[in-house]
Amino acid sequence: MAEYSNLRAEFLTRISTGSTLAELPGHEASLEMSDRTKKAGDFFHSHPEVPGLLLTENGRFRSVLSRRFYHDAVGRYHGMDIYHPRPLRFLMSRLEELGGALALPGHLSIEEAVRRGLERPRELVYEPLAVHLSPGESPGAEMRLIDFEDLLAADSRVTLLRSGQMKQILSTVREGLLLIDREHRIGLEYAISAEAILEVRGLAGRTLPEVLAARLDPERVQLATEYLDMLFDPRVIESLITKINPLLKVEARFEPGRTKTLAFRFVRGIEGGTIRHVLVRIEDMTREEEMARELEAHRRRGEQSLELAVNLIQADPTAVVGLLDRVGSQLERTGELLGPHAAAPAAFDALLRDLHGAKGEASLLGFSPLAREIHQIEDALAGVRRGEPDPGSARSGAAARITSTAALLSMARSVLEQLARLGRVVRGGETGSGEAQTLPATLERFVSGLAAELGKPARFLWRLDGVTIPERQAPVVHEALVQLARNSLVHGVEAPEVRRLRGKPAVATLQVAAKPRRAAGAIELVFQDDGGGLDLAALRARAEQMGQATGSDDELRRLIFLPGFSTAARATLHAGRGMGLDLLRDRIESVGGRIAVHSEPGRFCAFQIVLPLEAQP
Amino acid sequence: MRLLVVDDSLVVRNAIARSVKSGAIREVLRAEDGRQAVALFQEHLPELVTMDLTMPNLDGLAAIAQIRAIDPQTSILVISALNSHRIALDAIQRGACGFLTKPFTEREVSEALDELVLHARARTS
Repeated sequence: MAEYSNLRAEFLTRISTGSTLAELPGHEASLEMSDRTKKAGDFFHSHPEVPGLLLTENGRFRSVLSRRFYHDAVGRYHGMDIYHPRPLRFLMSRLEELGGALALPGHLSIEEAVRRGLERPRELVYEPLAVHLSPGESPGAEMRLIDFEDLLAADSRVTLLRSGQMKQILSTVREGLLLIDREHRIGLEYAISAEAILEVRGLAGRTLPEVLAARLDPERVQLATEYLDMLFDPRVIESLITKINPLLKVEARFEPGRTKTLAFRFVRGIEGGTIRHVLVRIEDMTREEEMARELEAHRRRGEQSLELAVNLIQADPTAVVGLLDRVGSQLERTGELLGPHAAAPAAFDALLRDLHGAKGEASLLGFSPLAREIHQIEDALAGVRRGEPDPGSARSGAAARITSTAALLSMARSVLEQLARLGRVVRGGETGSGEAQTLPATLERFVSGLAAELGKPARFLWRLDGVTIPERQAPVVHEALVQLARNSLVHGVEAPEVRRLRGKPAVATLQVAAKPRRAAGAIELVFQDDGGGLDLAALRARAEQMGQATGSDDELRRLIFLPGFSTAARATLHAGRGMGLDLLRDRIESVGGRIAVHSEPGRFCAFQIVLPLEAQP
Repeated sequence: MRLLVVDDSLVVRNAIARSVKSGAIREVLRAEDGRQAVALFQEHLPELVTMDLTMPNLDGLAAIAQIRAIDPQTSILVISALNSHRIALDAIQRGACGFLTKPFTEREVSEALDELVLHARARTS
């Protein structure tokens, strides 16, 4: 008998939450139903620890006789006289009337066996039960008798293990798990992270809406309350309302002035066909939200840098680096002008001219994002210079533009660096492609791009006749030609339908012819379009408006090189700010050259540029 | 089972009817406003209803209430472009079983109708 209690103690130490009925130790002693009841009495007397006997009929399991049931029967008045001489079948007929013995398959879980045992009539609840150790009820099938109290002890052990495991899960799980009942009350066991996420201590027994009230606005809490009611309503289909969960993503308030993005998901817990509770899964999505925003910003920057790379890959790197440096210092000057000390209007004008020049270069290099940025800085600066009604906002607008332009510059520098690395690999150290050599291709690309953008088809012709543009003058030729080509396409060249009416080919021609002037140590470049020519009437009107003397047509034409003289009503990205040609003249004169204009209304406009072969300081 | 599709847009009615994949739905009835829906419901007593909310004559919320008054067992799915928690909750409190927002894919409607059929079966068995 000591052997059995050892077995039981040993089993209780190795029991697990997955243990089955068959693993429980039990008793195998059996009697035939035809045996006299006295035999059972003798057995119980000599085996005081055994709770009952298996009863068989021709070796086949029939019933269970418990010590308790035996004593209950024979303990009655004359009980021993009545039962002892008779076969066990006679005694057992009483048990059959009450519902018979319980026999369960060995694979049942301990919890399920307890549930089935407790479903028995009151008088039989503590009766031992029989367990089939092998499937089927064939004769000789192995059976075992199990004390119901042993089963209860095992069950309480399993429950302890389970709640220990549950506690461990609930203390480590990242999600804030909790259960709420029909009254929205939070259950005793919940994940500790629920407290951390909601920053509330002691959730058990409080209602979820009451906890949420401190974190969300009242309207949201009201919606949540009604939503919870809905989840407990069996009429409502759970899977068809998840989309209208008002707490799927909410901004929750925390002291002092912090917010978190929280996600609440709800799952019905159904037991025996009714909704007993709802499992609430709370997640802190703040990091994920931030990351999603960062990713989006990253993606946008990636797109921009790809656009940059595509543009820069075709441009001359030295020209681009020079431009980036110049724009960088212009940004610094812009920052100084926007500072606390009032700047002179002249300083604004000088900066605006330089920015305008840089914008032209950026367009020329196919670096349109930079051209757009500079254009916006020009707008913002012009606003500050005019003294817009709200100078503060104009200044901060300009400051914001400086920041975004600076970001673009640094992105362009890094793209260039990568391209340079790539270029070394691709070209394998090929040398010598100066700005002068790349000039024709760059200009052609610029003209065709702008022509397409303006809807004015145009071709660009070079007639250099063997003249090479000196490398030292290449930058100024660059700037001059892009400025003239832009002006020509925007203002000079007519729309295709107008050209057709005037009997001109729909595709306009812009051309550059070069002549050496060796005697003078110079070269001459003539840029000519076949557009509408200068509008002398408009020039005269503008001159009168500005108080300029208007004499001959030649004098009128020369006015276009004056600062601030523009006939275009609206400034666009491409031309019309009235700072282009005066800037160009200054630039050409600064290297010792000169520029002149010729035009015939309705037929053409031409610019003659003479540059010394050697640039002068 | 029979399904009553209520929506004032012909395109939406057709799209929902096209999404019926469940073999359990043997007949599809169509109504273009709430009043027509209630009349058709009274006549045929379909087990399943999909209901739009903004419609001329009788709106969806009122139609749901009237249909529930005729037969409290009917399974009603709201399919609406109104995407507000308040409206969805109102519709369900009046007796709808679920809420689907437009625009929807045929697959979404088809799966929702499968759920609705299961739900209706569970309620009538």
